[in-house]
Amino acid sequence: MWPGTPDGSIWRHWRSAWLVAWLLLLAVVAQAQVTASPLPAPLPQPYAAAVATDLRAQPMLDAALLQRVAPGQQMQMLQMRGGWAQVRVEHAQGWVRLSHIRSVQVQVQGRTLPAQDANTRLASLFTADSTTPVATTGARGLFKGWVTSSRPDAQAVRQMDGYTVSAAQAREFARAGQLQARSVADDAGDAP
Amino acid sequence: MTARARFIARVALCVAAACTVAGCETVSQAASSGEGASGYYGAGTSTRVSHTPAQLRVPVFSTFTPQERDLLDSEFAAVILGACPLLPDAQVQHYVNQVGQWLALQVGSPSDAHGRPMAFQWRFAVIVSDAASSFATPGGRVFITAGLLRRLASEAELAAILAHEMAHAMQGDALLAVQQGGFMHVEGAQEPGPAHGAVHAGSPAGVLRTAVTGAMQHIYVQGLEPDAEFAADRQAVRYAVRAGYAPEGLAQVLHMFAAASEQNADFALLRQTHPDARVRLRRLAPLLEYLAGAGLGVGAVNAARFTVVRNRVMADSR
Repeated sequence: MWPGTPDGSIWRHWRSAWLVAWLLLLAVVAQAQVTASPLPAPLPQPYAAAVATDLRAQPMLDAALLQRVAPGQQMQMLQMRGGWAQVRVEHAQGWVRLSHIRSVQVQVQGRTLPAQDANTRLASLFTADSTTPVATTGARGLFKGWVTSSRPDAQAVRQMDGYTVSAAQAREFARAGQLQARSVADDAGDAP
Repeated sequence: MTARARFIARVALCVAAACTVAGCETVSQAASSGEGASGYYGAGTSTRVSHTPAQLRVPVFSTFTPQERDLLDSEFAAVILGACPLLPDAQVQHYVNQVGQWLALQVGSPSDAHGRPMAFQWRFAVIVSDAASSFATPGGRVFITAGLLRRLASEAELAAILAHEMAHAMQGDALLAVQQGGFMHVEGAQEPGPAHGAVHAGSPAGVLRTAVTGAMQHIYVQGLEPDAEFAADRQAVRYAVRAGYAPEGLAQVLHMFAAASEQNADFALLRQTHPDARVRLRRLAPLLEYLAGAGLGVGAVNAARFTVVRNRVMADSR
């Protein structure tokens, strides 16, 4: 479940909606050809540039530069690959660094904020890395103090054990899902 | 300090650690005390946890016997399940166990200080809570709330969360927390030393439970070092990719976290106990770029079969 709806800037220009739809369809087809796996349901999603960044033709730093993207520029994310996101910015489509963009799905009390408000809100969010502590209330089961108020349930622990599956079942599950084991070192990608 | 008091303190702090592992429920601003967090989880320089291509070596496992770990594990699980019952849907539980066990076949086993492999009995469960949370215990039980599961979009995302929790358990984060700081809080406590009989199945249940819940509450508020979370994020991506999943699963979850409103109470616990999702994303980006460059940038997403399960969870939650 993903909160919010696509932001207004795209859908207000409904006359170009058919073009958007075609582009998305093409993107989905292209993705399917590359990875042979379905896209997650919630994509594409509204995003905005968090910093000034570059839109490139391929998900590589030395790929052709399509255009510069200003902070706050709205875009739709089509897919992620590596540290990159494929996005559509106005009528251009290309790749930006994943860490340079932010989701603009901002909800306050169940109401999706207009894009303008979302930008304002994002601008303040991105200036600080630290989190603001929020009172932990209202969530069923894991309210503040849940540990001390819990009545330990040993029987549920045994019931949990009953849900386990064998290695053979797991392998069959993986085969059905076209999951193929690959080799990745525990320190892969760490600095030498 | 009497032997009994020392015993209670030890049990309490052991389980406190268990709570941290729960990892996901731990605090971002926890002080990096003592020996400094920077060296623990960084590449190459760590003296505590060494990630090598061959084997993850976690010296802290030598401090506890397998029996002690199992005992703590069960106690911790009982407290979690006492607060949040199992989702009463065998099909959903079965599915999550299949994803988890497939991951478990890929993660290998860490070894203790003497190079002895540490066996984990991996178990997975969906628990009833609207809060978006996940937990792990020291012995390899992993919990995900229905509130988190129904906000996910694909099996790759679910795998990333389970893998993050498995990474906490395999890094021995809970046990490390005990060694690093837990005993400091106990008046008169000496050096931890080896756990000769400190925790045993014959302990009075009431004493054990009280100590366990008290310690869990303590760690729950104090939490893991941010570096432990960043390290678990990186390992989670590696495990997911090993299992054949697309590497972006965790990044997509973190984007979802970042997009959630600060007013949303379901995310309050997560925000309170974890580094900011945007910071986690930034820390993860270089690994994702590396994997893409190494030809591991693609993988299975399995959104279709996940959606069937997610719809069941949404129906169960009504």
